[in-house]
Amino acid sequence: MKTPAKLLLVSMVVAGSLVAGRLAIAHHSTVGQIATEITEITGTIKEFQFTNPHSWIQVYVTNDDGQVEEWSVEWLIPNMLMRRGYNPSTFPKGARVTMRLNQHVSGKPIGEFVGARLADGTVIGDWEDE
Amino acid sequence: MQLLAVLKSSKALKQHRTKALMALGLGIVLAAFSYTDEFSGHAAELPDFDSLPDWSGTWARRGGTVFDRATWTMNGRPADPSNRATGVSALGTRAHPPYNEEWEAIYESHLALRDRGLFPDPLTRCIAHGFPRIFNVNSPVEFVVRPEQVWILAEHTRSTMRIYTDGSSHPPPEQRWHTYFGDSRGHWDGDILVFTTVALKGWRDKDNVLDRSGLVLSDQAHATTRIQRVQEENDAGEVEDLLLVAITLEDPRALTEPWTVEKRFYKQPEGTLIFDYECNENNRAVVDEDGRSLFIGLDGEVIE
Repeated sequence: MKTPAKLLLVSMVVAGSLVAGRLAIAHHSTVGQIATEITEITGTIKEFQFTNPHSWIQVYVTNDDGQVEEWSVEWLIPNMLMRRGYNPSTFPKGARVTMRLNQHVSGKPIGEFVGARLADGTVIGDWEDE
Repeated sequence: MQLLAVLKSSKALKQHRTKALMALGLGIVLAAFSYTDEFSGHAAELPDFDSLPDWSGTWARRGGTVFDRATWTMNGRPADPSNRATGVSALGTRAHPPYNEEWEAIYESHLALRDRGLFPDPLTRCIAHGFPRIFNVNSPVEFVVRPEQVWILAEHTRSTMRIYTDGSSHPPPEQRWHTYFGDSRGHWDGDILVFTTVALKGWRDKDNVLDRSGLVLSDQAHATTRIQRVQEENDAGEVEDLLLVAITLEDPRALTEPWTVEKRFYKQPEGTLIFDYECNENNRAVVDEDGRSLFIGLDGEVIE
């Protein structure tokens, strides 16, 4: 994970471009539960749950203490993703990834997907280079 | 089958088996007709298939997943702050439902819960949207037009809405079963599908809403819907192909006057697919007793 100062910088850079264009997670309300700031994580894809009512990306992230944490990142319904050209192979198991998300206000490793960049340079979702 | 076995085993009846079977067959046919008549009363003839419009392909709604645009929000914030204050939609017409005092209070209480993320939307529990919310969810739909029925096949919650166009009538009030989709009967007025819907659940069991803002009607609500294919010019000057759905809702318990809402479904590019949708496959959000939808952590515990 990046330091808080770096996170704030990332948030300032990308937040403006995301607020207007992002689709809300429609299946359930997240009012008051999800932070509006962007959190960035870097890790390895454990599993891409391409399932209804929403897809989930499970990511292994090594935290500042050197321990591996599993993050759960919720994305759109897979039906919508299929029509936009994504599929169950979009996040291959074991792939290195840098991911931006809106984290749960509890600080737990769970949040809503914003965008990602894989090690091979593939960009997924909303992503602007810093 | 038991009756046939008796006929076969009876010597006395054997000689008259043919007549008996004919009589039995006639009885079954008559019974079927009386059953049908009890619930419907068929039309003399069905519309000719070739006379029906072509609504093939995939159609997707645009314009927000609420009927009452005056209270529309995005991510917990008003989509247009001026709307809520004025009660005037972006289209320039009042969109707030004409509730009576009692049901306005119910709706306002739902909006207040919605603003705090506490309104228990039945979709969160994977309960089907029903009618008219089938026209108010994100996923696309298909229309199957046949002389005797029109089917609306919704991807969301895998729902099928059936509209009978065979000249049959709604069941009499005392025989109605109130369901999420109700009972829809209609006819073709040229290329316009016109149908009425009765026997809706409404808010009687607190599990059927018209949209995610908590807009509800009673189980006495009924609707007249008109669907027609039109071409409209958009802001860019392009002519778009769409199905215009106009629903006039009436409810003697909740509304003071009829309320007409519109939804637009745009023809999607050829090859646009509709996929399977099993809402219970991996629902990692739950609703607590206060109506909050919560995340479940990997340990199975609610994340607070």
